[in-house]
Amino acid sequence: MLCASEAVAAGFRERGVEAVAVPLRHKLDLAGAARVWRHLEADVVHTHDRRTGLLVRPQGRARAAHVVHTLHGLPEEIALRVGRDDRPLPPGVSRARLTWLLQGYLRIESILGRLGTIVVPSEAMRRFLVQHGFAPRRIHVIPSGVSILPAKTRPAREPVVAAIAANLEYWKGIDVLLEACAHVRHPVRLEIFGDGSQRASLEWRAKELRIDAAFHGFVNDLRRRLNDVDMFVLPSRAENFPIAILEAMASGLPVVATRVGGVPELVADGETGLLVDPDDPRQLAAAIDRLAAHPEVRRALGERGLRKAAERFDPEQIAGRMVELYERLHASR
Amino acid sequence: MRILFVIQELRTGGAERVVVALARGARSAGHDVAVAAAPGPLADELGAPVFPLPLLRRRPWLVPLTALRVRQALAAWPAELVHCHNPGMAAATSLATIRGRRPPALVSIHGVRNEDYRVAARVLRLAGLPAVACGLGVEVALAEQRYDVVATIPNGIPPAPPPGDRAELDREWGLAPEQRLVVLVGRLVDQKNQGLAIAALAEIPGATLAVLGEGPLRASLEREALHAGIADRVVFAGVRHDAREIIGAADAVVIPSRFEGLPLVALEALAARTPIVATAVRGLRELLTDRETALLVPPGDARLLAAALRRVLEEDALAERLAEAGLRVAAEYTEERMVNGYLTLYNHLLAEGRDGR
Repeated sequence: MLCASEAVAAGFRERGVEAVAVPLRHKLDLAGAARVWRHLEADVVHTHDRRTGLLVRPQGRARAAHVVHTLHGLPEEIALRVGRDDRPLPPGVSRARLTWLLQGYLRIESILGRLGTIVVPSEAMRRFLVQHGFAPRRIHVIPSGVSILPAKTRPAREPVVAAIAANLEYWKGIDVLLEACAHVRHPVRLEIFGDGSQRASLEWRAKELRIDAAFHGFVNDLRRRLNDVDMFVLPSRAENFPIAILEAMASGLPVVATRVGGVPELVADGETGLLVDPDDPRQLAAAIDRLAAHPEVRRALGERGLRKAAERFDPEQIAGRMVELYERLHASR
Repeated sequence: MRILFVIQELRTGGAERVVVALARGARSAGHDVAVAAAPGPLADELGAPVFPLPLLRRRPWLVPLTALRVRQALAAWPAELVHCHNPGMAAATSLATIRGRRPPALVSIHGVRNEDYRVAARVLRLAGLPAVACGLGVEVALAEQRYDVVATIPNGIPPAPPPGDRAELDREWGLAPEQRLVVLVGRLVDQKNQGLAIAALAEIPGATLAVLGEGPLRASLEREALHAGIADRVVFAGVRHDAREIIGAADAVVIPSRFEGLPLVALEALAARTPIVATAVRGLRELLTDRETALLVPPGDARLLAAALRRVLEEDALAERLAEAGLRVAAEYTEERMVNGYLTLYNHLLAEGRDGR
């Protein structure tokens, strides 16, 4: 395991994995890259972020390794366009930036992708990449995994508590959630976990709308806190494959989320949660109202979500699929 | 199908002659051919469109320029298949087709310096084109670098012409009737190591060395012959179009190279029943078996080379035995077999490309 910081390396060593911290300081840190290259005599080299994908992947391939690169997510500006190529420019994103991402960044990724295999967490991302010229046979979909916590029974109570865990940025659509809460008829309390550049304006807007909302900032014990809420909401305008939803499902929570990116692959509408269109406060309000008013629906959706998380996103099983990919590549020499 | 050959030079080397044979073979099989290469004499012989490339000469920073030229060639003459030669051209071709739909392509490896195989394997992996070895030596050398070629298609030669008129050659080069003739064929470059043969010849007074080929080292090789005091027994004959006839008329062929892929001159000597003395280097040691089809000597040792040359010149029975066994080896390296091997591979790659791989 080659990673950026000694703390992370130590974490791996505790688990019995040989680990070395070799930081890459920026995307053109060739000196750092040269230190990484010394460790590349491997059968499979698996890179996980853009810097190593750019600086380490070609060397890995040159030195006879099979290279696998996981694209954990797309930059939000283009993630917004997954499945919706006609979207207008989001606020604060220049035409130049979007052009660079679509014509430059994606092209570089697709050229680098020819060196080996690309792993993406969702079918939506796979479709998007194929549309943008990636070779379909090189892309494998392996979602992220989540460990299951013992389910807790949640007594019916007033007000119903809805939680959201997200960076407080435009992409996450929390402003839409606040507007929606102003329309919700049933008493609902919002617990907002996470921080970001929009925090101040969101807090101000929540007060203005007289919404019962608490901003907690970043928390280290999100999984524990999810035991004390009744539903999970993610009103994002763009998503790749949100771990937050996975964790909510694994905690037995019903999920209200938007139909964007890989979210529909996680949340089955009407089965493990409710899906609504992004940027639509009224639809979102109706969905929250429906869950708030019916504890038995919440319980049913939550239980099915838990079962789905256990069946489809079990970490052991997901890791097994990755190992299977390594083995197949290694055998294909 | 339209096939573009990408090769560094079109001068007189073996790889070039392979390309000419392939171009002819492909054309008589009904395909269209064009060549991207630095201009050279073989271009006219092809009678195909030629797109100029810059000369790399171990300057990797010129690869992007070469790639640009290949891209322009592909724009002007849209090929359905690109066949490039040696790792540098593979890099250029891969770079040229990095954007957009990539035509099926392959690269033939004709041999690189021993110490360069590691870099060659890396370049080939990054280029991502299927590679073909021109002989067992190249295949093994790449396998040592954990690089597997998709196929080994050995170089081949057309049937041997009748041997040349020895008396006429003797007259041309001023040889006494009892003087023995040793022939060395190859570009006058460091790889071919003609200096070793000149040093060895100094120890064999009864023999003359005919050096066929041209190249940058001519002046210094002439000096070496002068210093060894055998300038009268070393003939620099330049490029000869009757090289095969001369090989047939010679008493021995010497191949003192530092490294080889699968040298055509060795095949030609085998086919002409002329005994070979060669260095046991990569490319030669996989083709020739010591004391069965040739005499092999350790590379770089002039005395041992001289001793081996003396043996084949003096022991007629040995020379006869080597020639007889050599002829059977040569029978496997026909141009026809090579051309058919490549044409089959072209069709396979084209079908794969059509399936969208």
